[in-house]
Amino acid sequence: MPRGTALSEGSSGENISHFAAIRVRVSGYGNLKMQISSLDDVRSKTLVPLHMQVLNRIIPTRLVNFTEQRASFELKTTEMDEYFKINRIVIFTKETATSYPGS
Amino acid sequence: MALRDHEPIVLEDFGGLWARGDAESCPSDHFIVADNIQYLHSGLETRDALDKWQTVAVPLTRVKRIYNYVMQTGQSLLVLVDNGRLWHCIGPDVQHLILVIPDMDDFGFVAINGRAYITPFTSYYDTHGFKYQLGIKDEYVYVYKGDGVTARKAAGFPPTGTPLVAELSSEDGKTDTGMHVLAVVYETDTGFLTGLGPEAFAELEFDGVHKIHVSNVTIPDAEHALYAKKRHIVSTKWIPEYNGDQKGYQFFFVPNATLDNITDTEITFEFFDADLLSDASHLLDNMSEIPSGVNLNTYHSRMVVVGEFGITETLEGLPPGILDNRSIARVSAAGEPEAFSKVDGILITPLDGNPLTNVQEFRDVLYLFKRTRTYAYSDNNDEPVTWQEEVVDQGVGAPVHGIGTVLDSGGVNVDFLLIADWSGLMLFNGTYARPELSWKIEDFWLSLDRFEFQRIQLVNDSISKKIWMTLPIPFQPVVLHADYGDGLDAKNIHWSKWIFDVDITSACLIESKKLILGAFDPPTVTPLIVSPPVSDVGGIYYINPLKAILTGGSRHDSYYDRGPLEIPPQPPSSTGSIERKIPDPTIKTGLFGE
Repeated sequence: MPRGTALSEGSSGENISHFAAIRVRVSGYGNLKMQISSLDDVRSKTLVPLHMQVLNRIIPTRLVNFTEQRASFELKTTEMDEYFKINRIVIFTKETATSYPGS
Repeated sequence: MALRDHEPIVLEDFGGLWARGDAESCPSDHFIVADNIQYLHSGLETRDALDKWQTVAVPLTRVKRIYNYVMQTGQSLLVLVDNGRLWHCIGPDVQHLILVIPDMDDFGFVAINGRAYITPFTSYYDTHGFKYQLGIKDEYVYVYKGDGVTARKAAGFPPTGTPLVAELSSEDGKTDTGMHVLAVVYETDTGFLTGLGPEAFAELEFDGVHKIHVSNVTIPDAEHALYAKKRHIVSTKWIPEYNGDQKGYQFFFVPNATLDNITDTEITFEFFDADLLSDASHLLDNMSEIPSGVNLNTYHSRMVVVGEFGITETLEGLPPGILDNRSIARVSAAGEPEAFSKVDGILITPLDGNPLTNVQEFRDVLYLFKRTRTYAYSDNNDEPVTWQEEVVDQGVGAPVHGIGTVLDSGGVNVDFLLIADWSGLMLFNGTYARPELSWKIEDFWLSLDRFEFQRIQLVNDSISKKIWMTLPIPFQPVVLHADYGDGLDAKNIHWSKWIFDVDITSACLIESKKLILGAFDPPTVTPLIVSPPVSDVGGIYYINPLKAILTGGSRHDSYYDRGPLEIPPQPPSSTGSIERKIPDPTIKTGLFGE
C-alpha cells in the first residue's frame, strides 16, 4: 500500500489492465501532446495529440490501446504560445488478467 | 459511463505535484510531474507568462535580491545587483543608485515610517566548509529616506569640536541655583538623537536670578551636516558636589532650548530643575553606528537587528576563539528605531555556535530564529536585556529570507507565518503545525542544499491563496509554486514547479498581487526541462496574467535582450526582447492500475 494512501486516494494494483482511451476536457491553443508509460517508463506509447481550441463544445477522446500492470499519462505542450486548461481527465481501463504467467 | 466495457477513472480534483517516495506511491489524483502549471478552482492550466518589468533605457541586470519597499507615497522596489550596488526602483521607469558596498552579497531590510533601513550581509564558511550568513564585519545598518539621495549610516555621532560655553545672561530670569552641567545633542533628519557633546561640556553655577546663555554651540561639520537638522541643549539638575566627571550625572532635555537649525551658535533660556522631565542620559549609552546584521524587523515600535558579525567597538573583549556576535540581537528603544543602547538593548540567545538568521513579531511576541532553533521573547516594559527567553523549538528554525511576506505589505502576518525550515515548509501559529505543508513533496524538499537555504525567499499572495518560493542552487531556474485555495494544510495544498530560462534569485509582490522576480543569469546548472539558455538575461521580471489577453493569445516568456554575449557584459536594452516559449508545461499522472 503506498504511503500516499494515508493522505489521498492511492494508486495501487498489480493486475494487468487494458487502457483503452483517455478523454480530456481541455481548452487552449496548439496541440496537447500525450504519452502513456509503463512502470519505470520501460514501455511507452505516444498518442495522437489533441488539437486544442479556446472554445470547444467537444470533450475529445483518444484511443490508447495499451496493456500494462500500471501506467501513467503525460500531457504537455512544447511549442511557443501553446497553452492548455484542463478541467477533467477520464481514463478508461479494464482488468484483463491477474498476472503474467509464472516461471 | 463505460467505454467498450472499460470503466472510467475520473480525475477532476487535481492534487498537484507529488514527490514523496517513488512514482508508484503517487496517488492517482496527483502528478509525478507538474511543471509550469497553475491551479484553478476546477482544474489547471499553463502558468502565466513572464514579462520584462523595467522600461528604463538601461534596465538593471544580474539581480541578487529584491524587496518591496513601501514608502509613504507608494510602493517601490529595493534591488541589489552584482558588485554590491543597491538600487531604488520607483515603478518601471525610475531608478536611483542609493548604496554601494562591494562586499554586500545580500541585504536585510525593514521599512519604518516610510524610511528604509538596510543591513548588508554576506556569507562566511565555518571550519567544516558549511556556509552561514552574518552582517559584514565593520559594516553598518543604513537608512534611506526614499528620496533618491544616497543612503547613509543609521544613527549618528555626537557633536564634536570646541568646548561648549555657558554663562549667566544679562537678562533677568528664574532658575534654581547651584552647579549644572550642560551639553548638546543633535537631532537627525530621521529623528534620531545623538549622544551628548562636544567633548567638553559646559559647567555653570546658576545664580537663580538670570537666564542662562549658551554659546559656541557646535555647528555640524560637513559629515554631520548631512543628517543633523536640530540641536537640543541638555542639562543636569543641581549638582551639590560636582566631581568633574561630566558624564557621571543624569541629563535632561531643557524645555525651549532647541536650535531648529544648524547655523546659530547661541541660545538663551531659563528653567527650573523641576521642569526637567525628559531624560537624556540614555543617549550616552547609545551606539553612534549600528553593526550590520542579516535581518531587521520591528517589535513594539522598536527595531531589531540580528546576526551581526560586529564592529571594532562590539568585538572588543570577546573570549579567545570567539570572533563574532552571531548570537546577539540588538533591540532599539521604543519609538526610536535607530537608538540602540550598548548596555541594555541586547538579547543574547544560547551560544550554540549557530548564528541568528531571522526575527519576527507574531501575536505580540518577538521570535528569534536560527537555522534550526526558535526562541521567543516578550516585552516586559523594561529594557530588552531583562526580557525572558523561551525556547519554542530546538529542531525548527528559519533561513534569512525564509519567512513568507504577505502581499505587498513587506510584513509577514496573516495570523500565521510560513517558514521554510530544513525539514519542510512550516505553518507557524505559535507552534509549528505538522505535517509540514511540503509533506507531499518531501523528497524534493529534502534534496535541497541546506546550506544554500539563504537563497529561499517566500512570498504569500493571501488574496489568491498562492505561494511562490525561490530555491537554492541547482534549482534556481525553478520557482516552487503552491496553491492553497482548497485549504492551507498538507493534504489540500497543490504544488507545481515553475521553470524559467534564467536563474531566479528573488521574489516579491507589489500592487497587492503582482509577482516580481529577480534574475541573475542564465541557468548555472541546466535542469531537465529548461530550454537552451540564452545569453545573459538577468533583470527584473514579473508574471503577467494579462499578457495572453493583451497580445491576442500569446503566452510566452519575454526576456531582456542583451544581444551577443559580450565581455565585459553589456547592460540589457529595455526595448529589445527575447521571446521564449514557456518551458514545456507538463503534467504526468500517478500510475493507474487495477
